[in-house]
Amino acid sequence: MSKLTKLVKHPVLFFQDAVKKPAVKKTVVVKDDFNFNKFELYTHLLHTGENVTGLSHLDLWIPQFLKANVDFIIMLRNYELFDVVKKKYPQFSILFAKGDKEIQYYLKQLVFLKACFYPSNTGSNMHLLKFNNLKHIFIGHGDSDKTASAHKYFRVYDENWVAGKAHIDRFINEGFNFTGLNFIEVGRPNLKETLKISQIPWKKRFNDKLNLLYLSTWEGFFEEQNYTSVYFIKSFFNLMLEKGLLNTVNIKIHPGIGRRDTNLLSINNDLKKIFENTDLDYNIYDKTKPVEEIIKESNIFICDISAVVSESLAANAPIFVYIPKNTEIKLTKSKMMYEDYTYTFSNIEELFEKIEDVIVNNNDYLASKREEAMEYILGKNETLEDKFIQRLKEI
Amino acid sequence: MENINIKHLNKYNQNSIMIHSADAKLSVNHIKFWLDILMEINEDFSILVRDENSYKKLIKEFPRLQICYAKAPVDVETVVNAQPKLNIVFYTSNMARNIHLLRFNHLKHIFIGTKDSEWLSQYNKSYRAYDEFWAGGEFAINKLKNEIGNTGHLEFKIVGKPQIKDSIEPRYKEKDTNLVLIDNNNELLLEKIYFANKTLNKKMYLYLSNEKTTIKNNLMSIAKLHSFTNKLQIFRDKEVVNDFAKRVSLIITDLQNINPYLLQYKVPLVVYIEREYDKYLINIDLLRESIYYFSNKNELIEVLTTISTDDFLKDRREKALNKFFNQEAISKNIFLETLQLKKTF
Repeated sequence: MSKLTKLVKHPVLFFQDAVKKPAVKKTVVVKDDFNFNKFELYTHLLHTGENVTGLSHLDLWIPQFLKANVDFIIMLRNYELFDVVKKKYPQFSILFAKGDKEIQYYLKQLVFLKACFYPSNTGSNMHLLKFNNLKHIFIGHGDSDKTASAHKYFRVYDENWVAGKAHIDRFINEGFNFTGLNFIEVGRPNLKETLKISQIPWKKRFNDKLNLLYLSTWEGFFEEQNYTSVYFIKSFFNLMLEKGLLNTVNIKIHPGIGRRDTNLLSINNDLKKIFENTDLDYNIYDKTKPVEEIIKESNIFICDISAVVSESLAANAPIFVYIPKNTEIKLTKSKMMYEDYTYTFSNIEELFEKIEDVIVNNNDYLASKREEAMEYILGKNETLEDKFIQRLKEI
Repeated sequence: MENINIKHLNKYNQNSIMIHSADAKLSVNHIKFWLDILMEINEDFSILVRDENSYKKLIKEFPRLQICYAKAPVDVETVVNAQPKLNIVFYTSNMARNIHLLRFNHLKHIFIGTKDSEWLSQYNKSYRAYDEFWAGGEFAINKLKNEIGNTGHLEFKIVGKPQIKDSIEPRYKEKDTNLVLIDNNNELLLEKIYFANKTLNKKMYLYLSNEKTTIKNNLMSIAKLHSFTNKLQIFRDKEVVNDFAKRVSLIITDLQNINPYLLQYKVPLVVYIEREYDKYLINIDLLRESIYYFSNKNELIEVLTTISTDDFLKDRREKALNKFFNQEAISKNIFLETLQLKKTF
């Protein structure tokens, strides 16, 4: 409808539209940089294609790149994350490149670059992978036996830096051909401090006090992949309070909780209500608190199936893992399964029975297997020997 | 805007093969290029596109095919779960979003490319995500190996391009005829070609797009004046280029239109270049060294005269054709044969 027709046929609409403010076009930022010095000899590039959730991945690795004293630059693909990272790490060089063209633009200027490091698998990694002259190394963001941690896409990288042998076995057991992908065992550098603390027996670590850490996962995209124990954890804590076994309770709920099942959105508040009128020392942490920091302060762990099980392993203390029944659990298999080094449970009664046996009756019968798993899964020796940093320097 | 559409997927489907395209603009062309070949399998297969508009276009054109649309990783998972017998996925293009499907370890991921991808693509390490790389001929495989070095587990199969099976079969060629495929705006070039043909009394078939009526009329008037109308045939339908290309004894073209597919007609290719070094604009050595060049009318007359007695590039052309599109693989239906073998495992 032309403006004239509108004026004649719908005069009210014509004048309404006339007084409306014209829509302001949003400028989309496609590239940006911070502390970028073209004359700096950057040799290492740390890339994440994640949104703000990628911050935790960067938090994991930036301190290690710093310790290695290599010339590195951070490349981000999400502008919101770029803003967050430059505030948190104002001393580093950071690039934001939205698409393929912008990557080409910056990479032309990074003439001394030798290798790109990827903490996660995102589609946008492909734009960097186009540079055949560079070494592409996957470093991950934690050890996990979920199917996402051992699949065919990993073959695009030149090297996969893993914590311990367990991750290599997971690839072997998936049964696909990955000749050409080199595995390098580098340990879990972010768990080095925890591994040092773990040399003190767990019971004596906090002057005979029991500090429980509960780490939940979220409910997953599909019900058949729902591994979370949050549905009954309130009842468990109520029971534990009655028994008076604990001194401290630390809780960190997966930030994705409630994404599919909105009833779970109030879980942090519900848990707070349980503890607020008790004498118990409790902390409910949000996503900003690094999990390895809470692990250091705890000596009993209740976890759902996720990477946090192996993180908790670094503390060398009893771990109770929820294995749901009647749920399809898609995991990649290594030589050590959860039941080999953790106390698994499928319901609240089973959990309580095992806690009583291990803690009250002093029967930590998986202690030696746990130590074995620390080497096999976490690469304890590689971690203590700073293998990751050594490898970074060798690039 | 929806995130997923699987309503055209048969509820109790037995699909073991799916073809995937994640290209936002070219998915329709990519899928259509392979469709006839997939139809020959004589088994149910599905199509997955990642662009909603492409999905709508494909569904409109092929309402009876099992075409799906999935936007996000979780939607792709739904598509995979809805096909319990799924075993093989064909990828037409190497896009960032392929990662959503490549993470399924139980599927065999095979890259088959598009019509022109084998010479236009810059291969990189991300191609290692596939299990197999099926190519028209050695050319693409060597290119990929040279560009990425360590190809690791990647299996290579030469399957030819089954789409050109009919063209490569031996057939009768009309003597002293040529097909002219040039930029329709280059009237000066057209003039050179016309007069060279007139001088040598060779018949020319010329493709002119519909809007070039003035050029057509002018050319026909000159031909009438020269009593050459029986030696000049102008056609306007691009679809029939292939038919004419199959019957002529030579193709005259330019840098805009030359591509390895012209080799399939097994006739000399004569290309117009303004300057000698313009031939290096053809960046594929194999193709560049298999064609004749001319820059003016006299040179064209000379080239056409030489070819009629001694087509000295014939062997080189044949070799190039095989490197791009392995003829033996095409004749023996290796694409379908390999696919049948894969399905039995």
